[in-house]
Amino acid sequence: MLWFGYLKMNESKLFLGKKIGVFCFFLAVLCILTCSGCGKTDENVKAEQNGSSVSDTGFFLDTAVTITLYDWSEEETIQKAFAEIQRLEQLLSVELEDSEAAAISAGAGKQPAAVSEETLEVVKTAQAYAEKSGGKFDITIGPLISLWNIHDGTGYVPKAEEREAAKALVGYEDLTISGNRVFLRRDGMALNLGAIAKGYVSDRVKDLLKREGVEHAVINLGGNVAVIGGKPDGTPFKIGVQDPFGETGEIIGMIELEDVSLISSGNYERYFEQDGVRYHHILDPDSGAPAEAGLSAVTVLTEKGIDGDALSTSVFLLGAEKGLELVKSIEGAEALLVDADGTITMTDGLKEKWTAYE
Amino acid sequence: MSKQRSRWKLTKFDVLIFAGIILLFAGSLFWTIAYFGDSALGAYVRVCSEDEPAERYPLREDREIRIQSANGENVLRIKDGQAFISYADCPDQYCVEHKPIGKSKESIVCLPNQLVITIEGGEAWELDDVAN
Repeated sequence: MLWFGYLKMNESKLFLGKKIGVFCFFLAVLCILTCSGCGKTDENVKAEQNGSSVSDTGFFLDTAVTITLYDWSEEETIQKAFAEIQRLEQLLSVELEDSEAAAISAGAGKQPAAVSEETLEVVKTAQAYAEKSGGKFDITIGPLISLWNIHDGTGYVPKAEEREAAKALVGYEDLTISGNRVFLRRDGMALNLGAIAKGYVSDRVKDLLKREGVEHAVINLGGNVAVIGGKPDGTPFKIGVQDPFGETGEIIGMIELEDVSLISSGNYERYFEQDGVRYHHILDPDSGAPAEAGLSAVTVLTEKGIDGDALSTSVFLLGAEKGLELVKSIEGAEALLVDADGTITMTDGLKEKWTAYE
Repeated sequence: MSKQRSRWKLTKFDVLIFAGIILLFAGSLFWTIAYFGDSALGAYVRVCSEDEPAERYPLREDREIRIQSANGENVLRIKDGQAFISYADCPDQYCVEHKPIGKSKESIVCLPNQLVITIEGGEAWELDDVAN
């Protein structure tokens, strides 16, 4: 108000100077007001980049779980998702002695274990993939996994007779389901849901987040990626695909995703080395040793994570030809295969979503 | 003389012009920092270990940080605008094998030691995540 009073008093003097002065002052005020006016928009831009999105990492299912919610500010929502993961881990993880998966193994050759709806769904889906993959995908692989102990890099190459003994205890045909009861028929058999549980958990997490109202999210369960929607700006999420021959984090290309899962299996993930040979974690129930089907990595895009998880392992075990046949038999599934020489093969539906990197 | 003086004299309106210009600069600087703080002022390495509060280190300063947790020890190195794990006492060594990171939202995880290293601010990452 002072300024306006002053203006009136000096109206007759220095007309030009006054005009410029007033113009400049109001320009400055206008600019600041405009800036504050678009502050909300700026905050949204920031959300996409690094700001009002929320992200947290927790350690579950023997892996790191990172959940990022875009255009969202309630950290509490991620904690709800973590609680759900913990609940499911309590059912599915064989590492936990009181889990349902452990109860199935404990009852092997003795009595069936009654399980929850969740565990039943995982076991049933796993059995379906065992059929589809001609027995390559097998959740009764437990005895071989315990023998090789590859998961933390402290394993060793077992003797041939140890391998044969463990292999004899593997066989999905000897897992029976009746109602909600799961039974391993032979004593010594053991379940391991490691090749399917994370995919299933990602589906349940997606369901929970959607119920909470989340529309844009990336869920990363130890490298298994699932997304809800696309980015808040309407573009798809861009997810890199690990180079099986490079350092962790080096990628061979990028896939654009909306509302789907992207899951990779490869010989670079978990392994140990002995006498210069790398022994990776995807074990073949037929040989009793790490799979050698000519592939270095398989990345699978599916609507549901449970399918992607089972499928990526199945394809890795089956090799390129049979693996691609299996992918084509599953609706909506796409795959990208990297063979031992680094040659990339992919299904037609993936080509438009794929960008290769140097 | 008097006519000349009156033409070049610093009037209250000239002060207004200067005030306007200063306001303009101050305003734009304020909003730049308020909304693009991290990217305008440089990138940080955020170190999150177990339930301890996260520590942040500027990515532009080379340094070596020893990170001690209940499970074990890692060494984080910041060099030439990149961060990487140079040592870990865990058996699997996956974090040591991770490539150096430097773009916003890139991260390295050490699973056995429950350690997460994330870049905040700075150059935008072209990806949203990596499947591996």
